[in-house]
Amino acid sequence: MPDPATNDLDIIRIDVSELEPPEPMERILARLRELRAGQLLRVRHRREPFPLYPILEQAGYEHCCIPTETEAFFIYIWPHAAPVTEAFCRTDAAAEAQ
Amino acid sequence: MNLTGVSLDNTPPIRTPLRFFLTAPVFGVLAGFLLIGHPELLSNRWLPATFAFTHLLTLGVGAMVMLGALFQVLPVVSNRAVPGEQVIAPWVHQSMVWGSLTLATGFLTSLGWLMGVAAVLLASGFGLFVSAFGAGLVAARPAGETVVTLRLAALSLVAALVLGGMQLSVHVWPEAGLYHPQQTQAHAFVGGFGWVLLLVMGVSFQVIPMFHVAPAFPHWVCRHLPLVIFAAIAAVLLAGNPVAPYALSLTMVATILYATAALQVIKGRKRKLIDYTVRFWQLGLSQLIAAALLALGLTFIEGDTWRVPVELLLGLVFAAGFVLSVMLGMLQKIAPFLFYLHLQRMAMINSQAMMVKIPHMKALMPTERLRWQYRLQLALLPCIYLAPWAPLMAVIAGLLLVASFGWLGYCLWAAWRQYQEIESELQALGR
Repeated sequence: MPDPATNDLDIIRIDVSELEPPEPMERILARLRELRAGQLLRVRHRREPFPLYPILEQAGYEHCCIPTETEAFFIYIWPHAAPVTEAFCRTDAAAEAQ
Repeated sequence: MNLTGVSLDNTPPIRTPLRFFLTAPVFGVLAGFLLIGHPELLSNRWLPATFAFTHLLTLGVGAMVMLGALFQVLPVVSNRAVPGEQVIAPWVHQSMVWGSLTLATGFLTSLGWLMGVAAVLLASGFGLFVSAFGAGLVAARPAGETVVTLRLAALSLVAALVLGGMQLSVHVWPEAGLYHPQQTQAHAFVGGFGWVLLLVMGVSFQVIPMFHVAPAFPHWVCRHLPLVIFAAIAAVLLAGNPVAPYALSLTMVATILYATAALQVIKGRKRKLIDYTVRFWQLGLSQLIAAALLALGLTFIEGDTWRVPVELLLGLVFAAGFVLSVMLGMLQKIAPFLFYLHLQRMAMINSQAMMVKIPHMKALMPTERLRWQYRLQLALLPCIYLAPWAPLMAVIAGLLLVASFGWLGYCLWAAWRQYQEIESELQALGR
């Protein structure tokens, strides 16, 4: 059953899977600066961006990485206070994959 | 909340790899000057100056860059830091610096006690690194192809160090009887095709697709070729005749297959921009194929008339053509990427950071500087390949080595200075 707290979330989608480093990081950080309340960022990437995670943590964001069966990764990023759960990310990633 | 279950603060401080990267060019310049002073050293593998030159490059440049990079590579491929890296990195670095210097000086002066000091320093530096890095590799999950290949490279490094130590013992403790002339060949073989090649392979499986938006390596290349090469090298070292020549041929065939696959992966990249790291990879991999073909050719050659010059050429093509090309290309991609990464990290936690412009990677390492590095490498290779038979070419190769490593040092130092200026600005805003 959908969580009512996450129903109103606005997912901002970006695809960095065809960009050379450090462009994926630049794009992600630039979009995060523009993120408004009630929004979360969903990034499509070719690989799991381990170097990004400490930056997100220090800047006050949480993340969830969902690998897909097509060798892509969906990385969900949101501010600490936002009511996002891993289940929400998994459901969204599964829906996107279909 | 961290839903992926990873440790977040695993990126080593910038100074951890940088101290290794900034030191390596100094040893390259020293090797260049040694070649200018002793142009005959490339004409015979067994001269003291040849050993000094070889170890200035393999330890002072090669191992220095590789160890520095590995402190950074493990967190990127496995999200796990080398255990205790902030404490051990300065010790490993100092041991490598003084160990490489005393070993080269020991070879040049034939002073046994100096080689003893070198043995202790290098054993402690490598021992410390291999213990910590090995622990990180064993614990790394998931153990993908890169991690498995790095484990095989680390085992080869241990074998190369043990064989090198046994050969060094003749100068320090000859009564032990550990020295055997044929072990020098084994030491070079397992160091080159085991440690260095497997390391480059493991790293390339990650960095070529990542940095150049290229397709992933074919599964059979990543999964099987490192194991084949490692097993074949073990057979060469342990089985002896009549298995060894077949195992050596198998090593070379697998090497050629890897290099060909890597060139294909690079060819399949999506954005065909001018990138000198790509050109360095292409140059290095083509030289690796040439080195493997020379090694295959050696198995058919009998008698020293042709064997000795082909062995010399093989060593030069592998070291200068393959290893140096790949290392120069990678350094000039990894160093600015790390500077950029650390500046972004500082900027994101500083609310005033919008006032400071974080330079792009190309501003930290301009393409024009890379072009000159590439030209110097292109000029060096024919000169150093001819050097064993033409002393003038050896002198020119020495001058080009000094110029190339001097240029590398300048490029890295300039980027480092630029980084420090922006770091100071960001720190001032944060106060």
